[in-house]
Amino acid sequence: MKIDRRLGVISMTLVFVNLSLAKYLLVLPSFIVQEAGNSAWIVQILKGAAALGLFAVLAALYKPYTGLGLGEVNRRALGKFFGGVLNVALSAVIILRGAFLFRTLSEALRTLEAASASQEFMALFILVPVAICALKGFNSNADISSIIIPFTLLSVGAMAAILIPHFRFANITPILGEGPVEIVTTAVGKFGGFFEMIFLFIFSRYVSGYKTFKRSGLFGIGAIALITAVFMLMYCATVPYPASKKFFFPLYQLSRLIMAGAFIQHLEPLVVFIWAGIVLCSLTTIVLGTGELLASAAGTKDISGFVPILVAIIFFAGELPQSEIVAYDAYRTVLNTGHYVYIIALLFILLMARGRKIEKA
Amino acid sequence: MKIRDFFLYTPKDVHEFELDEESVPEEELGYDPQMNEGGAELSGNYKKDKATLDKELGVEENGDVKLREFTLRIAERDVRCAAYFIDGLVDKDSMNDFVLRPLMLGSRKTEIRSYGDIMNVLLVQSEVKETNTLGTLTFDANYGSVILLIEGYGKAISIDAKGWEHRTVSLPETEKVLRGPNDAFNEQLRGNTALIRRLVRNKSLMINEVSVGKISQTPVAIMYIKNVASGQLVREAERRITSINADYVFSSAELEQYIEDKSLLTLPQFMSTERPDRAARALLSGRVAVIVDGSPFALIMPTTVFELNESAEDHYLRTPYVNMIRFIRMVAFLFSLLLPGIYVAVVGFHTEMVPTDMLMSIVSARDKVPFPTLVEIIIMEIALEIIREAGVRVPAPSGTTLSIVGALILGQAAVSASIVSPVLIIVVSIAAIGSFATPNYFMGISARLLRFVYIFLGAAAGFMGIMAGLFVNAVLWTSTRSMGVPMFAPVAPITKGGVPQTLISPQIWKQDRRDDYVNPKRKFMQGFISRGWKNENR
Repeated sequence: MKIDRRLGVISMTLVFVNLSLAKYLLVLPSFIVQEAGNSAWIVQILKGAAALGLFAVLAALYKPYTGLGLGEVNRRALGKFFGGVLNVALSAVIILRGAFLFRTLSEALRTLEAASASQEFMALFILVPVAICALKGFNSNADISSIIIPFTLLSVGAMAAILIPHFRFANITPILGEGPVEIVTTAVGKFGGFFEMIFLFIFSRYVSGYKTFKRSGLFGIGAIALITAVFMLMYCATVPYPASKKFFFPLYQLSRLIMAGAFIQHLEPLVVFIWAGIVLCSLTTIVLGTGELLASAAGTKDISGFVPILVAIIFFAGELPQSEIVAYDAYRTVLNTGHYVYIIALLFILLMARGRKIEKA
Repeated sequence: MKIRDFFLYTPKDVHEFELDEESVPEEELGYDPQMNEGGAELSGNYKKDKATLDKELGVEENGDVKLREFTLRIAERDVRCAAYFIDGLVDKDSMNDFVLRPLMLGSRKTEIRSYGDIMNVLLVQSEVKETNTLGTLTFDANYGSVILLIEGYGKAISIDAKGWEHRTVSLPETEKVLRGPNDAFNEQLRGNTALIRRLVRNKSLMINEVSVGKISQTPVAIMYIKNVASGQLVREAERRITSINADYVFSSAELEQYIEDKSLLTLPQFMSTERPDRAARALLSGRVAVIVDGSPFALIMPTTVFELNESAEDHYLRTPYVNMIRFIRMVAFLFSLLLPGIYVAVVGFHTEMVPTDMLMSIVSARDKVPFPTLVEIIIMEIALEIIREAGVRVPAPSGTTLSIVGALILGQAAVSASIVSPVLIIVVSIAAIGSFATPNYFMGISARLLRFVYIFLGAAAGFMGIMAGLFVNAVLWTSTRSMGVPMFAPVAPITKGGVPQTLISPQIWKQDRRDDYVNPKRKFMQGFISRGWKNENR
């Protein structure tokens, strides 16, 4: 094999999976259960199917520009000024999601291990590693994903295996939960579950060709739909409805059910390893993606100068909500609404780029 | 005398010596950095050349540089000759029997008509060359050759007569195996290359010799298999090694530090081995081996973290055993790296993990200990490191005393004096044993060093601190290259077909592919069906 620093299908898929998995392992399942009841796992499958269709359309439109990166396509389609403005706006949306993800993790950590420690102190252990990894560049981030994703999946898989005796079929009945209408509405309306596909377009210049780009997207969306559906099913089958609506951190609640016998009484502190690993990885990708967009807006390819600024923004934006409840509500709002704007914008840009026949990659 | 001196006695400072920088021109220092790439040449005038060689080799200053002058009979006339050699580097028997005797007596018994006959008829040594380059002559003399200067010849003759004292091939000290061969490299370059060539009996095995160190002129052999190793890899190894601009390099450990990418990283970026079979196997897998004269270790490049976790024994064990042992080794490494940090984190932040009964036992054991867990564990770790360091240097007869003192201090006295708790001793001991179970010595040291970092991180932020450390560690390690190959290949980045073979060793007959991340010229090591006897037609 030639060690080509342009990423292949598996590496790019793992980057995408790390982005989506972070929020699913933190808080998103409880939001979805609140919307769709114990049919949340069906919602995930429907969302995945819809996302696959949408990605196929977007990818087909994006085909000529795969080697450019979304930031550059925006600039070329809308001109330097408006393209730059769009890049900055998109960066703001992404970084805001990153900020709330950061806040959610630090709150979760405070809940789990260091209630006496300040929010700022815990932030140090999140943002410093993120900054170091981001400064090493996208390839380093992809390499880390190759280690952390298998570790996360193995851990969650092991947890699922241990929890099998706790599964109750009655907990997932009625199968259609709140009803077919609710399922479809949640699946279509809460499309933000696959917001992360935008990163595939942002990082497309790192991918070795259109085929890889397309396959990474399709495999990634498929994998996330499958993993999260299984996770939702596990959650819904273990925790009876409506109790499942009440928990902020489903993974943590599931881990509390595991009694590991005489030597280790509770396993839930070990969840920190899963959460921290996936969120650090995900935040790094968010910083790098935002950096890519801002670098395009500034007409440069080097993003290292943006990294410290972006990390600082994540910190300060994450500190904005006054309490953890406000932070969760804000995160929920961001997750549910932002995606419409960007998907419409992305479609518009790609159609415009096609119409203007901008230079191909 | 000043009035002040009358009252105050100021002793005269006897330490007046100060080491000043000497501004001696480099050419007067007795070496010329360019000496191996041309430099001054002999003039062809015997008297003048002899004076030059006398000066260059330092015949008068150096007690071990010997000069033997005699006459040689060529074309019915006596010709003056001078033989230079360094006592201790040449084999005197071979010099007397095959150099001096033929020249002094043989030239009189056999009719020598021309200067050409000296090399063709008289000198029966296998390695003889003529040159007039002064740099080559001084290098050869310092590497066990006899330098022969003959009046009227115009050139000097360098006759190989190496024969210094050296260790014989002995058992490996750091890579012992039960079922594999038991010979190890020693300090002799030629002997070491021969040990490898004995295993790889193929004309494709290339040994490119260069010298490193402006003054030491240490011979270094860069070995590779021409039809297997990537040309780019070989050129990069040669480029790095020949570009070293230092006065001396004595060992592969020093050379390693000159050519590695990141000197401050704890992770070793090359594998060092004292086993010829391991070096040969690496060559056959498309890697480059570098042997430094005077060093009993070969450097294998490139290498990965997973290879550093492999032992020399792995290739001699059956598949189920090797996989189990590799897993145990991985666990041992993780214990050695993380266990003390995890202990601090559990005691400080995650006490709910520990069952109540066990927690009570830990708490009661710690009841009389006056220090916080962090201090307690740091004391123990430092004590352990001191004992380990002393153990390396202590003379063998005192070893037993050291173990008794160590065991008493670490085991009994520290607990009796309530300086540390018994549980902590178990934790520290398991971590220490884990580092010994790590096959690569430098990986073990790396774990020992990083363990302190994880202890502090565990004490500061519990599991989150440890995970943050692991994340940064993984970022630094994955972004490190060994001769251009990522240290975490084939897992990060993922390479084609590499992951399963790296994590779980398949049966020997299924190990058909060379590691793709070293870009070998030949991808396969075995045929599609390597066990021909399974085919009924054969």
